[in-house]
Formats: sequence, C-alpha cells, structure tokens
Amino acid sequence: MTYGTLINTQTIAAGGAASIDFNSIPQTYTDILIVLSGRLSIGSGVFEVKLNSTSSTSNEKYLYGDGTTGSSGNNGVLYGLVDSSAYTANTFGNTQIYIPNYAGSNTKIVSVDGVTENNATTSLQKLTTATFGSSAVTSVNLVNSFAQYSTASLYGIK
Amino acid sequence: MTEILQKLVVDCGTGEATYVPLTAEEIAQREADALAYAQEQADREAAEAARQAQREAIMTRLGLTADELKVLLG
Repeated sequence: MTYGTLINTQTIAAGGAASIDFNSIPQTYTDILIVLSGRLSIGSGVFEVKLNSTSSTSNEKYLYGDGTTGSSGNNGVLYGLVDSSAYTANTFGNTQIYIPNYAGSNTKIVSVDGVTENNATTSLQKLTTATFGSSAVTSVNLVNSFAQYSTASLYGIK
Repeated sequence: MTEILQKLVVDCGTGEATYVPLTAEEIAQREADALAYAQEQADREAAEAARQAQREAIMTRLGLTADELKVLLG
C-alpha cells in the first residue's frame, strides 16, 4: 500500500535549527502528514506546531501519560513531543502531525501524536489536537531547538 | 562566542533547503513562547499538586490508604 507521496525530507545539520519550516507546500493533495524523528538540544522535549507561521488559537486539548499517571488538559497552543537533551544520548522521539483537508477553506483541525524514547524510567506519550483558522495551509513550522540528525519528512496523502 | 540561532527553511516547490539566521523579532517571539510554556507548565503542576493534596486529605478523613482506594474503585 502506498502510504503517501514524499514531498520533502530534511535532516538537521551540525549546529541544529531553531525551527523547521516547510514552505510553499503544494496544494494538490487531500491531506498532509509530517513524520518527525527528533531530539531537542534543551531540557524540554516539546516543540510548537504552527500553520502559516501562526499559533493555534482555540480548542487545543491533550492526553498525556508517563506510564504511571495520565492527565489531560489544555496548553492553549499546539505542541508536539520528542526527546529532550535529558534523555539517553543519541535517542530520538517520534511525532506525527496529520492535517486533513489542508488546502481548502474549512477550519483546520490538526492532530499530533508523540512519544519519547529513553533508556531509563521516564518515557512519555502525548496525543494532542487543536484547530486553526480557515486559510489554506501553505507552510508548517516546527518550532524549538532541534538537534543534529533530527529528521522531518512531509508527505502528501491523496 | 554568541550563538547564532538559525532556522531550516524548506521550499517544497523547488526542494531547496537553506539555513537562515533568526531575526530579532523571531528571537523575541521564541523567548516569549518559552516563557509562556514555562508559566503554563508551572500552573498545571500547581493544579495537579493541589488536586493530589485534596485527594490525600479526603483519604485521611476516610481512613483509607491509596491501595485500599484502588481496590474500592477497581
């Protein structure tokens, strides 16, 4: 089964990047999917997901667990989750960002699911959704301090 | 040495990817976002600690341990 069409994939070079911006996204697919294998160079593993350089403004909800306790709530903006610098060296967390009907004029509803990988007790899972405005999505911005070898791939889904 | 913050900008139309230094405005926004997240996280942890304290106070009043409460709720 073809899962989707790879539009672009990028691996962060030495020195890292404060954001990964996929711009000029073709408007020829039904949905888009970003698959991220990532690690941040700071002590937090969360990064913000923006559409068209704009934060989510409403309806952000998350379900969060560490294997022992779970919680749910609202952060106000949409976050993804990967490994932080506190995790085992050379491990990377994973996040998938799904944006259905990204090219139309309907309200954009985005889902994000992320897990961390760690050779230690602490490991986290987070499932999040949020809505954005109705503008067609031409760019997706992943914002925080991504470390070298983090890899983000953008797929188009028909 | 001052670290130069840069972002990876990908033009999906051409496939070209370039590293671009952040503007002063982007650096300020980044710092504001980090502060907002830290505040939200502190608020969330404080709320969770308050809920936990309330749970423990109720269990103490009832004379139950956490394990006994799990048995009752299971």
